Parts: sequence; C-alpha cells; structure tokens
Amino acid sequence: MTAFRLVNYNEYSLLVTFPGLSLQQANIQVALLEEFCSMNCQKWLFNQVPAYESLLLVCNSPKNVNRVKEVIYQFFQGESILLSHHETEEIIVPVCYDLSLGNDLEQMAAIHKTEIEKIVTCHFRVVYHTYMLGFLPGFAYMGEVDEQIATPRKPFPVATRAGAVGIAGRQTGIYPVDSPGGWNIVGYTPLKMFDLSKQSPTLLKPGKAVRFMPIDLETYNGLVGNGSN
Amino acid sequence: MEVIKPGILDSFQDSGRYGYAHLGVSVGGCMDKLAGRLANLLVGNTETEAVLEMHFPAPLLYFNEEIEFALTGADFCAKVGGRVVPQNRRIILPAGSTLSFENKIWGQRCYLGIAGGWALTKELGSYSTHLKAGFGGWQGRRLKKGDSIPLRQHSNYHAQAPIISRWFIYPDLFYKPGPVRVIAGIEWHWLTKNAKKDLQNHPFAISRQSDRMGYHLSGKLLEKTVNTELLSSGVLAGTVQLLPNGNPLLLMADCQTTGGYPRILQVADVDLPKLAQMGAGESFTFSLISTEESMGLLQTFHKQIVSLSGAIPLK
Repeated sequence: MTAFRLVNYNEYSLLVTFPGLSLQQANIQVALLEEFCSMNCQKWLFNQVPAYESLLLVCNSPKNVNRVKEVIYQFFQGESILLSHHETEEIIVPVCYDLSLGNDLEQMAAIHKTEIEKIVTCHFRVVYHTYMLGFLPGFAYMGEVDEQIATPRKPFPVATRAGAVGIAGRQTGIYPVDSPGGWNIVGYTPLKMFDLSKQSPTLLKPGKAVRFMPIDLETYNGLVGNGSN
Repeated sequence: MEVIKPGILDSFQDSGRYGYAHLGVSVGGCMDKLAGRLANLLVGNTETEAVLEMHFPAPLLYFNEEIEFALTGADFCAKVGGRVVPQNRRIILPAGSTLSFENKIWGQRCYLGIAGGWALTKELGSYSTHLKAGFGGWQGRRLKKGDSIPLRQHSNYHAQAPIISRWFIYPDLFYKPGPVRVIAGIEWHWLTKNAKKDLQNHPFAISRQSDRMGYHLSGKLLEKTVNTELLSSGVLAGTVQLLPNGNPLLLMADCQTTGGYPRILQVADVDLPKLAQMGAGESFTFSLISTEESMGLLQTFHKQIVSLSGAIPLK
C-alpha cells in the first residue's frame, strides 16, 4: 500500500499527501486518486484541487466527510496503484521568442551570463510534464526547466499579458489571461489557454506532455490575427 | 435595472463556482456568503440565485418596473425618494423608483436580492463574476454607468408607494464582535513557539492592500522554523498564509485555488461572514480552537439558518 497522509483541512475538507514518494510518483498518485474520487464520490464533493503532491477534497457538507474518507481508504487498499498514466500524446504549443513582443530574455541572458539563443533553445528542447493547474483559470505548472536557465521570480509582480510563457525556478507556465505576475517571460503563444466556448475550457491538464515549438513573428501575428484556436 | 451611477465595486455573485478548481478556476461568489443567502431567502429565491454585491460608495440604481427585493449585509443607509429603506426585510418598490445609498453605517459589503433574480447566464455553473478572467455575472465585469440589466420575473403587487414588511430578520448574532476563531493550519507546526503565542495574543490589522482575493494583515512579525520551499498546494477562503516578510495573508472569496506559502491557520467557517464585513484599518485577534469545536459551531450555525429561514413568511 502506498504511504499517504490524510488530514482535515477545515470542517468539510480533507488534504491527502504522499510522504516518501518522489515528486513524479506523488504527482501520478494525485491524478489517480482524483480520478478515483471523481468516479466514486463526486456527489459529495464541491471541488477537488490536485496539486504537485497533494489533493485537497472539498466536501459539499460536513456530513459527507466520512463518506469521502471511506472512498480514499478504498483507493489505497486497491492493488496495482503505482501504474502510471501513459500520456504518449504531446501537446504542441507554438511560442514566439521574438524580442519585439516584449519579454525578459535580455535580463535573463544577463543573469545567466549567456546568449539569448541559448536560453530559447534550452527552453524549447525539453518535453515538459504538466503537474497541475492553479493560480489562474488554465494556468499550467510544468517542469522541469533546464537548470542552466532556471530563474527566480521577479521581486515584484508586473503586468503580464495573456499568452506569456514564463519561467519561475525550474517551472514553466503560460498566462491564460492578463494578470500581474512574477514569472520571467521568454515568449508568447498565440494559443488560448482558457476558452469558455470549449467543452473542455483549458488547453492543458495535469499529466499532459507539452512541447514548445518556436515560431517567428510573422507566423505568430498570423495565428493571433486568425484568432487561432 | 439601470445603473445611473456605478459604485466603487458592484458585481453579481452567488454561493460560488464549484467543480472547476482543478482547472485553476477560483470559487469566488459572495464575500459574505451568509448575507447573500439571506437576501435570497427573504425574497423567496433559491439559495444559489445571483445577488448584487456592493461596496461603499455604492451605486445609484433606477428600476423602471416594480420590484420585490431585500438588502442584507452592510448597512449603507439605503433610501428611496428620501425615505430610508431598512435592511433585512422584504420590500416592494413601485415602478420608477431610484435606490440610493447615502452613507456607510456598518460593514463593508451590502447585498441586493431581487425576487426571481436578474436575467443572467450561468458560466461554468455559476452566476458569479470572475473579475480576473472576465466572465460570469454581467458581461464578466463590475457594473458601469448605463448598464441596463433585465430582471427575470415581473412583480405584480401594483404598489403605489414602497411596501415594507413589518417583520424582519435579525442576523446580528452571526456578526458578533470578538476574536476570529481559527483552527491550526496544515503548516502550523512550521511556526516558532513565539510566533504561535503572538498569533493568539496580539491584534492584527487589515491593511489597505486588501480586496476580494485576500486581506494583508499586519501585527507582530511571525517567524517559522522551517525554511524549505513549499510546493504549491490547495488553499481555500479562510486560509491564513505566512508571507516571506513575516506578515499573514488571509485569503478571501476570490483567492487562487493553490498557493505556495505555508498555511498557518484556517478560519472557522462560521466566522467568515464577520471577516467579510471588516475593512482596511480594522483589527481583530485570533482565537485558536480545535477542529471538533469548529465543526460544532458550524452545526449550530446550520440549525440557526434552518430555523431562521423557517421563520420567514412565505409569499
């Protein structure tokens, strides 16, 4: 049985964590438990908040906390739990790294004492794993960014546009809407990360593999002009 | 309903947007969910109907048709044609009435509930305005001058003058002054012994950078013993995080779904309405209670709401 910790978060919410598992393993467990709860106790839940290595379950009444607890115990009593989600499909996200769009590549190059091209290449040559969504509707936390270009957050949040692709530490993420933000912006995607007109309003979900594809300014402007996706 | 002059922040809210937190969509809804609920109960709506949340200065509103409504939460001294419109009652106004709010008597957020509600469309299962992402409520934004928001239902009392119910509800017991009750948060044990004491023995003030997302608090600076970085994890309204500068941040209705600062306290659910009615400059103290106690408080609260709603005369 996988080691887990279950604590009361408030009067009607439970937090499950996985001490002792690696981040990758814990993140898979979070996704599996979330799926199990969606199938077995959705009717007693207001929300599930899956994160890097924790799952917050918000019940719709304090009376249902014990019912949800039972379902969680059932999950951990089950066998073959460490099967991983096989995500073979990569989601391709086009990114324009052109300086004219206004990004932080020059400052980042100065911090890392390297060339802008090196930062760009390091960013797009990795296939990223989507760990969680949070912060803003559709904001995906992806990792791991190459250590050579890992950059701490800015000291203060600044106005950041929808579509901005940023780096914070070894994480990379995409701003789905205009927002103050502290991530270092490397480029912009013409894709909509959050779209209410779609059946599934977010482009990314935990577990998805993501590959950034560099595009030039002309292609970017064309895609933005078309209201791509 | 016509907005002649908007208030500082008027938005449609409801009991919250549930089921989308896994996509990063915040719960939102009324800051004071109790007042929102009571506004709906008073006019015979379901508890999940939209209400208008207003801050002070509040808007100037014109109704070209008769309305049946109630005001709950903060008291902004509402008036119609020079006559005071009391809180927490069912009221009928004749067509052509203008509703104004003269001054701030108590509280920070006033709620307007109208029988039948406004003709709004639910987005992701809720009427709440998601101010940051710009959807829900009325065109995904706060109200502005010239907005004309249709009502869903026509009122047929043919009132010639305002009709004010003689009965009223008295929700003051839910807003009792006194400490804000809290339970230990997930990372409570990260705090130093002194920080744990200081949290319980010293007042904390709500700073000016406070909004629907959260209240920045100032008081004794708090220290922690653990210095590892926390990986982002779920948070809820009522979660108190410890910022790197040693000040607490109390999350409110529009808070993010996840956060990376240690969660040192969780406000007892029954004390959230009281906090929603507090504003910048006000201070309070925390009182640490057990989870069992907070569950007991919530149970009593539910019973009180049930008996209160049973006491509201049917139409």
